Amino acid sequence: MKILRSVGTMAAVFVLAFSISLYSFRAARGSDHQDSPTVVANPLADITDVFAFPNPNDASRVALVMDVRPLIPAGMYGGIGLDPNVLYQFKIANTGVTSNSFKENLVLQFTADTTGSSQKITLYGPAIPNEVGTANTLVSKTGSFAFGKVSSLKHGIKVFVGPRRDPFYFDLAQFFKIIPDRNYMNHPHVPPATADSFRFASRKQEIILNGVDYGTAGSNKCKIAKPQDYLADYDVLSIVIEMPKSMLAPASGSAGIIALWATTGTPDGHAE
Amino acid sequence: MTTRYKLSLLGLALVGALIGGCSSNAAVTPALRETPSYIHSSQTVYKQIELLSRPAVKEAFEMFKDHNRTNRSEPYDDRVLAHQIKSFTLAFRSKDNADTLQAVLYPNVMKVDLSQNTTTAAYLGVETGGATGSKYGGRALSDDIIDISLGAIFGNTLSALGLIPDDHKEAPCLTTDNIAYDKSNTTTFPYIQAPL
Repeated sequence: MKILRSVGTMAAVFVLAFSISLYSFRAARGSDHQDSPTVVANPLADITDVFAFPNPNDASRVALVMDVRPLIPAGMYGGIGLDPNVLYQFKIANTGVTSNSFKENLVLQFTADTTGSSQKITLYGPAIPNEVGTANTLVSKTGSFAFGKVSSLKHGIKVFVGPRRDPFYFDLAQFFKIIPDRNYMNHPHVPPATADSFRFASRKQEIILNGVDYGTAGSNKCKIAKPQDYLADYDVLSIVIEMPKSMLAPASGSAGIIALWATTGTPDGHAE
Repeated sequence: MTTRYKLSLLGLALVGALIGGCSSNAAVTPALRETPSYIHSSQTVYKQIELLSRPAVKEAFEMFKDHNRTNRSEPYDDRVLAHQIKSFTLAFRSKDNADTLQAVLYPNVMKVDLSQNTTTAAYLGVETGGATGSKYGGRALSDDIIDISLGAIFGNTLSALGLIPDDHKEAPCLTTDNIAYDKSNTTTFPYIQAPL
């Protein structure tokens, strides 16, 4: 029994050690991606990006995207689903945006029923939120669908939740050299900056911004090295919803300027 | 628990710590965590732990120690971020630059003009009257939000738009990260490139 217990302990320790080692390695490569200790503790609640754009073939429809779970190495997305303890929300204000006097008056909410990629996702809303602010309950259910599959729900809503290639692109490693404070791995003893320039491909690379010619990279003493998209080899989990944009219009009137943001929340406000 | 068993646990833990690198972050990075199933109830109150809208604002302007507070705030009620947009910029640009960036970027939300009859989105398009490519605003998958942001913070974007006089304090080595759009997103739902 003792031997079995020791073997089990050994396996658990090694799995934990490997996990920590692996995640620490990945962690050196985040962007919004890992922007607080809380979301570092639960990457499934870590929102990496938000997008909003029209259907490229139908201007009457709008797509919203929230990406979570940063830095899934290529080919390693199997078995990773949303966190069933987390409420994923798009929050929208559709009045008062131009004058910056707004609060959310529409929400779209997503939950998962279990862990892993066999989970069922449920969409709630779009609907008026039960509460304005950072503590929220579920609004009325719209429909459920399988993780990893494009699905159609009522009211012309199309949804998808599943792994996708991270659409973000950025030379993050160089950014962290310029502003070391933003890399959570550097805390609490933040080192000084080790670069004052992004990386340029050659000394002869021209720097032109908004029509103004700033000369070449060499003449400006910019750092010369091959720039690298540090998100190039990683996947994320994408929550994608598309709907008629009239669904995001005020109660009276047609759709106008909206303010959009995305949140994650847990029942106790902790990471998990 | 026997002494021998305790010692073996301690030894294994030390080996594990060495393999794990003894990172001070290790305590908050359980990468392979498992979460049990959860029954979602209409009575459950979910408390916000993360917030994102415009992608580079928090990361560029705000001190890391304050991110957790911003992540737990509403984007229209976050004086810390509003203040740091200005204070960060004042360190190397004119007061006009700092005031304008604060006015444009706070409240920190993504603005989308759904009244526009177009199939083209463009990051900060609402805030700039379409100068970034479309009055629709929002954010397209291909938008180079990093270069747009760097241009506004370190370059001459604001003066080029006629919003403020040029302060001649541009930092040309910081106005682009030199990464071009390199993904294969599509024009059919769900639009984002399949996983690698």
